[in-house]
Amino acid sequence: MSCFYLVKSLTSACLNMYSISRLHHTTSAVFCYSKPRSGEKYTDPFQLGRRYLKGLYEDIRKELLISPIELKEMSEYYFDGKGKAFRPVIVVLMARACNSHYNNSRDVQASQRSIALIAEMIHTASLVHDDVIDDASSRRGKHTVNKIWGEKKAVLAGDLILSAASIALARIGNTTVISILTQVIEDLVRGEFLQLGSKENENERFAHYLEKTFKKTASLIANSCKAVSVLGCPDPVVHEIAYQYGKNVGIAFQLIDDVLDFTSCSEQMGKPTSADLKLGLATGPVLFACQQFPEMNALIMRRFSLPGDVDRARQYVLQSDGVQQTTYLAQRYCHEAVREISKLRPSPERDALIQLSETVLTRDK
Amino acid sequence: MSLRCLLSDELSNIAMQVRKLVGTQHPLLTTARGLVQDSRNNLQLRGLVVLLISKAAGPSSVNASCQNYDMVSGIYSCQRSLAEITELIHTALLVHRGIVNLSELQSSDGPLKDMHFGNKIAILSGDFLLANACNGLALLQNTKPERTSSSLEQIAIPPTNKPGLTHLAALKRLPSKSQVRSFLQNSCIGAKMDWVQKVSQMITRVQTEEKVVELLASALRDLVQGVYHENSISAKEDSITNDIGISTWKEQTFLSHGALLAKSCQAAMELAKHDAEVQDMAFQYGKHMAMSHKINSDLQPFIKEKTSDSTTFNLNSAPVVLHQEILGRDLWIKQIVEAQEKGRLDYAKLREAIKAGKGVTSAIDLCRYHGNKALAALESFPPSEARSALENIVFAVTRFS
Repeated sequence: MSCFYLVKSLTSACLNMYSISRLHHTTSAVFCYSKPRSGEKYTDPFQLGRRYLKGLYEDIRKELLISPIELKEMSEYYFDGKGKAFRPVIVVLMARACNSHYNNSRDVQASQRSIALIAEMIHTASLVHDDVIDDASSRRGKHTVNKIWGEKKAVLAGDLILSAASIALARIGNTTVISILTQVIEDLVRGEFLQLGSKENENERFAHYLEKTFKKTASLIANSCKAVSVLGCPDPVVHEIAYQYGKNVGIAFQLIDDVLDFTSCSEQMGKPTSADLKLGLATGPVLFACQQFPEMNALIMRRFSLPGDVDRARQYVLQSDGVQQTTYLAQRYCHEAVREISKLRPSPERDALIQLSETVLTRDK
Repeated sequence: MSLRCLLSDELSNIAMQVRKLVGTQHPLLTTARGLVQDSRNNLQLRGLVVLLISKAAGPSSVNASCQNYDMVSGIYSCQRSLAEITELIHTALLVHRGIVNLSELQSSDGPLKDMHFGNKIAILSGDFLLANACNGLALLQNTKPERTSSSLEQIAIPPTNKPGLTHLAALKRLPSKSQVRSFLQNSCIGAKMDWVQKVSQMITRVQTEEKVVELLASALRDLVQGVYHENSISAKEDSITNDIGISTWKEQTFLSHGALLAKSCQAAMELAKHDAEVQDMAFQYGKHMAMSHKINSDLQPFIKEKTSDSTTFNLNSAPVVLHQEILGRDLWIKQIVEAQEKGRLDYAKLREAIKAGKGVTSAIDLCRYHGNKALAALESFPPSEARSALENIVFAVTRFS
């Protein structure tokens, strides 16, 4: 709650911050654009990360080797190597950054690489279930598992991926790490529950939104970072740095995702936009817009359920400064992430993580 | 046996949401009712069996490293937690079984949005239970998880000045206690025996945790596969039953009903540091007891004296599969066709046809076969009240007169 007012006072005091080049323009829903690449002067942190992740998806598929072929196909469906692999990249870069910091070793331990697999698997399992819950028809540019094979099997596929992730986790044999990642599984479910309910009070809404954002998105990244740091180095200060970096980047990532739901168009995203509004969810841009247009309160309370609500809400958002405010908030989280990670000793990976937090802000899909 | 998660906000949230489903046709309502009511199927049988077998096996005579664990009424607290976790996993999949395919709904099923909502709650409830199970597994042996790893790190530095042990990672990868001992002795000349013992105990503890988590996670994987098989009904037009023989049926039923109990029983033994033989006996008991329990429940529609004509039964249940195998596929299909009236299956007629054959008696024999195997496994446990209780469970599920 206090964060909400902090942002408000900061934005009104520092309006020139909006001129920072990396803000998204508010566009009308009709056309879309693609952002030009912001200078090739630094190496793409994703390229650096992916180098250490060769064979990631093949290895995940090996964990899913089970006999009913259809069940295997369903479980493998999203592990086709075409996703962003955002989480595994962060995990692997963090592993090397921590290893470099601790003992100058730049090798990724096998157990740390496993965490990258496990994080991606847990994430995918939750996506498969979320798509059934939201009755989604497309993701990453293709049909969802539930649309192709039906809801019953989709739920089982999600359970299967989760069980495979748990088996891989057990094999690492580190009880601390097991606890850290099972916490993620719990947070993911609690995040979904938070999304089911809604808060009456305007002030509580923002805190509720941030908590849900943490549980649904940031917890996985924060805790995977922490897990690899635990495996790489015994210093609890480093573990906390890794956790804070992951948490802040995770929240920023979700905030920008929520912005893109308003500013992007469906072809780019691979999934339909205004998806959140259609699900009755009031995200950052909406909550900020509501400050300027109190009429939105009624729409939020009824979760945009009446005909025309979704379009009205969208219009309010695009007319307000909701998008800018959310983006600004995301920037604050990214700066915090950079501040934390800068406490580690310099290394190519540490710098890649710094650049990565900036890509979070500039992504267009 | 109270589940810790019953005290959480989420569960009251779930209860509230499930209440909204009253009046709809969503299967979750039936599942929820079944879990809450005191019925024959809601004995929390799995949890009970895990507790009993823990008690029957008692503490390990070989291994004294469980001295630090709490024991109440002959059962370690970690074994108690394991029993809860087993029930959580079972219930989670029970709930997930009740998901409905939206594209297959008919107007008689009611409004689409009710079914969609029911699915939503079913998925979330199941996931919630699974998350609690995973957390439970993580906390099984540790009150302070951070302590275990860092104490291991601290005492991994040998008490001599000689450079010997360098990497903790190497230490953790050592597979068995005896190898640990010799490795440590070779690399740390002058190390004290009790230090060696301490380190190897900690490693064993970590290995036990790893093994138990892996066992239960693989049980979950088996269960998911088993439920998948249950769901798959042949898409062919004229057949509404799978063309599977009894041996395939047994494999699939092991996955859907036997694996969880078998592996939990084994895990309970692992927690008490029993050796491989004891673990195997526990596994066998769990497996065969679960199989006979399933066959017993499959037989109910065929052996009850008073069954109303509208009682349906599962066409992929043990007596039916056996009946088909004995009769041959063609004759079986013929019987199904004969029992169909205007496209609807007359279950009463089909039941009579099955009862007239040898499927039911074969199923009873199979049930007793598994029952006997379960009893045989119990013989290696010392006689006790707990062991008698386990025997009585077998007698109860194999009694048909």
